[in-house]
Amino acid sequence: MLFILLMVLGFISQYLLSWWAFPLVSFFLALFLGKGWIDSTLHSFAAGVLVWGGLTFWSYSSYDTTFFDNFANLLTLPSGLVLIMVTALLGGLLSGLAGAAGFSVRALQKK
Amino acid sequence: MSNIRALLLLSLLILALWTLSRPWGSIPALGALLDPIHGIWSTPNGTELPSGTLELDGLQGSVVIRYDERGVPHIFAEHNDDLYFAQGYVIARDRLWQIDFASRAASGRLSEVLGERTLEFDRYQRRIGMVTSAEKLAAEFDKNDTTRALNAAFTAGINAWIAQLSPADYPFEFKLLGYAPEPWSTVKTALMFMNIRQDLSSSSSEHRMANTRLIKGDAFMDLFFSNQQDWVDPIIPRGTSWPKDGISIPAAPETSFVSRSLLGEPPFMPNPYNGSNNWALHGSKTASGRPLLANDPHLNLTLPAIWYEMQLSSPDVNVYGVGLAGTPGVTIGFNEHVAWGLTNTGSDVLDWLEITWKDSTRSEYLYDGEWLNASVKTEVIKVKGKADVVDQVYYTHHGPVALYHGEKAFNVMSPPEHAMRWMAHDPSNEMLTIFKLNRAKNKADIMEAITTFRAPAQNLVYATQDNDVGIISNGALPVKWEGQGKYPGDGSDPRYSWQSFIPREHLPQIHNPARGFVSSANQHPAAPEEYPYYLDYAFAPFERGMRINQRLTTMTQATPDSMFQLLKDSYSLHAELILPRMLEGIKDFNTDTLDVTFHKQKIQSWDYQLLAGRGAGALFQRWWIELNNAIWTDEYPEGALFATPQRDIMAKALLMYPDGEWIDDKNTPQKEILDELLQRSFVKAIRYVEKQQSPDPSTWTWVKSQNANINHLLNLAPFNATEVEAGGCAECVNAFRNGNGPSWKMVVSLEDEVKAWGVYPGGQSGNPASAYFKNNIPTWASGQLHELLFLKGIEDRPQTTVATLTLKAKGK
Repeated sequence: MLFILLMVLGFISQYLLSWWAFPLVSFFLALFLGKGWIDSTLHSFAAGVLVWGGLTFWSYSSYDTTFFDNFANLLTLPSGLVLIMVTALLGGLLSGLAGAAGFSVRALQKK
Repeated sequence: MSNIRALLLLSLLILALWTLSRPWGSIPALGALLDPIHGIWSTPNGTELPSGTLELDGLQGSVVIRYDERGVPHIFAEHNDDLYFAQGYVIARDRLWQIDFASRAASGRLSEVLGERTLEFDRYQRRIGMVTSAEKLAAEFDKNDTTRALNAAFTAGINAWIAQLSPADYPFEFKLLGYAPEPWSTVKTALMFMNIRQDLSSSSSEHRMANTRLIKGDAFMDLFFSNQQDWVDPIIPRGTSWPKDGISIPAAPETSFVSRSLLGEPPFMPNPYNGSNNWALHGSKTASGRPLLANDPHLNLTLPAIWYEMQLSSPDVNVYGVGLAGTPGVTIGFNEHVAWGLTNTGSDVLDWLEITWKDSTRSEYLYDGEWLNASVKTEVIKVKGKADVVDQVYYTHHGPVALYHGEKAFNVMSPPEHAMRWMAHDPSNEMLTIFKLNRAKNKADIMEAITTFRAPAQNLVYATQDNDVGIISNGALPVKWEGQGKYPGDGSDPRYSWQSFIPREHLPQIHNPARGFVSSANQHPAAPEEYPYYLDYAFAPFERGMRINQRLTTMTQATPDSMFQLLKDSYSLHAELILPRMLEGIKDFNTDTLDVTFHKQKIQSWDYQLLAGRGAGALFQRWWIELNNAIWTDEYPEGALFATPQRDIMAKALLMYPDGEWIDDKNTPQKEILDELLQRSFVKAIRYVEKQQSPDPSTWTWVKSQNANINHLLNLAPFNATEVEAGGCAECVNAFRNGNGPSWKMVVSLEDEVKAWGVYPGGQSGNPASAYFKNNIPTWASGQLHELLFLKGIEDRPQTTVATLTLKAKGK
């Protein structure tokens, strides 16, 4: 349930705001609804990877990939697919860290 | 424990967000950049051609924009204001980042988005008064009702596009550099005009010329840096009669002035040369019996390209051609009656004048025996990630001072404590010229249209359906005494000031000449010994102009195809002139360290064509450079500052004075002769190309040595076009070299129904993800031109366009 909420709210808030909105959603969802470390951290991480990776893969596969491959080269990455992995990992790490931080604050209140 | 853990994780999160939200050196802010929704991942959105209907504020009626298969918009409007609004709109849609960046470069505001690395560039742009002049230029446009309305409509069109953008829609480069577009303005349009004024009329060698004179003396200067060159075929043929009355040339000073600040200044590099070709054939020389006109302005070739191609149509105009991106109208093109093309005149319109300050505050300076007040302008340069930099610019009545004592020159052409008298600082209404040229019906209209065009002076060639052809070196050219501005002048002496400009009726020009054609390739506008005014001591080397005139002279029954062939001509007249003498010098030469036989044979059998695959061309071009190095590097103090003789003068000097004192290498005890230098430099050239290309000379090509690149404006390697196989050389008609060359090739046949062909090396879209980003490069490189689709009206040939966008006034 938290996982679905993470993906839906994360996507909507990022769509309306910007890249930093996704980890904020992860943080607050973990803060208010987090059930445990694994639930908050891993699910946040997975949601970040899926949303960021999914969106970028959708962009990549919708168009001629030359631009993304060239852009990846500009960042000294070998290809657009590697750039997708990097982007997905970045989204996952940010979201996972935010989830962990959110649950760590929740854990304080539980005491 | 859990407190610490929470604090640690929160801190980590904040640190991560902060790290990703800001740029680190040349690494952009990665969070926004990689944002899957708003970052670079949305770059390909909107790269397809637009269609449908849009309602916009600021329009009077409706505008139909038909895009052809190359993404060229054909704009049909009911009112002129709507026409230029729509032009601004489509240019912004395709080229927003480019025009933002170019206007920033003109105004010295690059550091705001690029950081410290462009600080000195920005400072220089402000020192030479680019913004001050752009403001004057915009005010000049606004003085005239026509151009005020035009400028306002064009600006509103660009802003209409910007207004509907969300950050996700920003062009790729905005995201990469992490900034947002700002509203366009009439001053920004004027800055785009300042860019071309700077590009075409700011090259100056006065400083290094003065240094060379100090070392080598006047006789040497007269030999190598003089416009008395009888081998030049000027734009206006020799033997043309010139006016004798009403000419008054100011008196020259008796002694030549030497600036106090020469020598000991930073070394000089030769400036690259912007050149261009244009010509028109009278109907008596063409198969159709009507004129043919051709033009290819040579400029720095970049992606996106400097030109934007389009057709503009309203009830009083139907014109096709290219405009400088970010400026309204068509700069080079044709309509249903006439065609026109431009090359740079290159006459000397920038003089450096040494200022005598009263004291170190630079508040007063000496002029004609009196102390005059200088004005000071404070410039604040914003630098990304750093504190603002404040700079003072001192303006004399001559112009601003670009460099102060003790400063390292950003641009080596500027001597310290010299004011610049520069034509590009004087306002004039080029926009009105473009507006009127676009509507010209005959020769009289053209001649009237160009009266308001003063800078940068251009050789305007025209052809009309009435079978008129002609050329005029058009613009404000100061009346100078012989040699004025060849060296820096004395800013306190009025004799170094410009007193007046050459009257329009005395400008170099010729209409319907007996030889049946007119042409220009940046060479001397008129023979210096015949023309009553002094223009400059140097123009472009003679080879391109001579080659064009040779071929046009022999042409009869010319067709558009004859024009295409001439535009792609990569023959080196320079090699034809000098290579036989160079080969003479190595005839019996052999060395143990290198087998030169292969190279000798290869270069002996070379046909002087600089085609992409010609390895011999690569060797010849390098050999010429090595020979010049061998001759000149020992003549001056090490690391010093000297002027290099122009290519054609150098070639003539080698033929006429093979024993000149400059031949001997002064760093060796023995006396060298020319043949020894030829042999040494031949070996050096072979070694150089071996290193540059491959040890196996059979694989050598010209394209690999040519620097045949067309780079993205930010030089982003994956988006550059490299090793473009177009052939060409600096002295070729096809003047492609060092990323500079034919920026727009156009041929127009002025038949009852005007036909035209054109191509530029780039594409209509500035978006690197677009199919229209560099789609024209292969055609351009092959020397072919696209047949241009010149529509007669909205309904004409519906199958020829692939997308239609209609713009409508909101609520109407």
